[in-house]
Amino acid sequence: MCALSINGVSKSFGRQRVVDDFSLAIESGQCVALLGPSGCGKSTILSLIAGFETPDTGTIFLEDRLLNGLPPQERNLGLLLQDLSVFTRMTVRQNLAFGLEARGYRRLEIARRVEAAAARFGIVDLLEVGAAELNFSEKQRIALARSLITEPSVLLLDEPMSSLDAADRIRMRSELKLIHSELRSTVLLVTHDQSEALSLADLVVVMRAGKIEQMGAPQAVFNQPGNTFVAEFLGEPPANLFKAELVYEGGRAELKTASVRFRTDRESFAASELTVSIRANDLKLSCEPGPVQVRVSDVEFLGAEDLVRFSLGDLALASLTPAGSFRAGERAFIPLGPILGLLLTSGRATESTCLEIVP
Amino acid sequence: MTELSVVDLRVVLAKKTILSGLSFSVATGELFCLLGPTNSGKTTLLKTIAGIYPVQGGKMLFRGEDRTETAVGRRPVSLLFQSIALFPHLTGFDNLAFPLKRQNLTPGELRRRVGQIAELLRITHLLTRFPRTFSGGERQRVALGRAMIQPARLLLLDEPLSSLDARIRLELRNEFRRIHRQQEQTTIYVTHDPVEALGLADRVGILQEGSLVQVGSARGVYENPANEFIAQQLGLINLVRFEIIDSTSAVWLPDASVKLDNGNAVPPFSGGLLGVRPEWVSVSAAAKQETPWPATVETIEFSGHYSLVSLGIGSARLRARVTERLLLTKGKRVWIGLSRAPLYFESPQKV
Repeated sequence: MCALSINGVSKSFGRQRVVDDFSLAIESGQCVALLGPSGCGKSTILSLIAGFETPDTGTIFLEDRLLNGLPPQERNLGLLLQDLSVFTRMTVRQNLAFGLEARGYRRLEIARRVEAAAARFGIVDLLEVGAAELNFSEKQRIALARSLITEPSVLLLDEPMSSLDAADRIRMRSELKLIHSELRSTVLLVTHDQSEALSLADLVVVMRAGKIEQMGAPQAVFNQPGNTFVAEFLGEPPANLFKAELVYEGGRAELKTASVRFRTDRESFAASELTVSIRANDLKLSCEPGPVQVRVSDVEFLGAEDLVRFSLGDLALASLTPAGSFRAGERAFIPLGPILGLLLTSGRATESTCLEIVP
Repeated sequence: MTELSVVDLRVVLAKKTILSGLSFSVATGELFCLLGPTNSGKTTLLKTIAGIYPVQGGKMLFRGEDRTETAVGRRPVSLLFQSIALFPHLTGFDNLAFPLKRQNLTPGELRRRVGQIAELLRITHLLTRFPRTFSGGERQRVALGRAMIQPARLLLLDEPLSSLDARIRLELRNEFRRIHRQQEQTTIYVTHDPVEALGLADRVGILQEGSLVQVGSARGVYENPANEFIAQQLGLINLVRFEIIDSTSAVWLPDASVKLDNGNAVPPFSGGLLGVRPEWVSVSAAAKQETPWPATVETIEFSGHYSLVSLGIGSARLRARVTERLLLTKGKRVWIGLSRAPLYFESPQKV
């Protein structure tokens, strides 16, 4: 069943069209992430669903109920915002009970649900503590518990982890993932953090300028980006992207830049002007001397690995290598053999290819 | 040369001790990152170095000269605050030129200086425009340019990228790295993001409740943190209880029901926490010498070029960073091992 459907919604602020004829259907139990750079309209879509903003055109349905025109409190949505808005003058128990009291639940039912939520989120010991005394990750947990306690049809999350420290962010992410897999609640998550979107969502919607660039399962949008924007946007570190021309040398297909040639196994590509994408983890470097020599210009330590930058002819490329393998200024070699890459052209489906550098 | 030495610094604000017994030094040309959680004293330290807060003890030496009592504005530093304040009524050019105003430069010289810094930060296209037309990243670049245009001996940056979205943060981090390699401007860079600190810093200092608890190279502190608090500040780490079995001096993990055989690398204490970074956990579909322990896949968090996989082993849970395209599914039986010696921490501080 469709839990939430957004049909041809547009919204302008002044002369700027922030959401442009946007449509999306979310299945019940699904976790959907709206992912995009700031200003792409993702937060505005959340405000339109929550009822804080009114769409200029289009309709929004929650199950079979039309939301247009309904005030926010009558929409049966859970909402978790960036700033959490935990009431600091109340205890944790009062915070959890707040939404239930406002909806006129009986005292016994409120107590039962608060106890159950506290047990589920591991905050039983905190129930009588004033919210002002909580640390940030505790507040986060309270806010999440509070947003789910009314059993909303859809939970809206607006960058819920953006203000957390990196370590807390990963912890919270795992917790959200676990909760979602247990409760199978329908979730719409807005984020600019791609690892959050990729790891949490069943469906990732990549947005730019109020429109959808691509949507699909996390692995699908990551491994098969539909256009250069998505290929450039998804990937930390970003993929190596460069333009190349498809030529035929002695009957074999080659991709040519100003000074580098790659053999490709994609012989029959219609367009001759292409964008090639090679992920930094698919481009290997070695200390073993070989015919393709490069000079390392910069080594950035990322913790789990190093990002090594180097030039190959006219191309500035980057490769992920085990930490400590190379130093700036040293020589390195690209081993001969197939390199996994993608070929992108406008108006055509992306194709994966095996590339080989012609020494 | 040593640009700045901080010796036994103590700062008390509103009767609360914010910094105590803090000593470190920064070499000329170095990029020194201060990393710590919220309220660890990072910003206070930066503002104290700039002369905004008075000190209750200790000294600050700039190139060996005691400037502890020198007034703010007379110190050889330039500070960029966390919240950027560009002048809305001034163009990009005039915002950048503002710190040079008192120098009575000729118009030609002024244009040259502003042009140079704009080129470095790739903001030449913003010079004639007003701040309200800038994006978040552009605003931050102009603010950074304003902090850099008057070459101070020491540049102090307070979370310069924290208000930006992930993508622009990554771009600006790379930009900043490039500029620092080119200019070698001595910089103290405050952040709570370990990836930023590890990627940028020549050395990293970790602050915990007003004390500097470890200083070292990025790789040094990441791979050999002094305690489990520091280990967690620098990135994800698995922490598992361990005991030493007296008779064999082998390491026993009671929760995982696993006995580690790692030769001479036995810790000098009888028990505590074992630390393993997710990338040190190897996962394989079959039992091998390198992957001797059976485990069960609990959750898989796809993250692009790697997945973070939670593995149940006994009643313990280990997270592994898997980069190979293994076919893992929830509930699947796998075999795991450690690709390097784990860390041992004696007494748990905070888990």
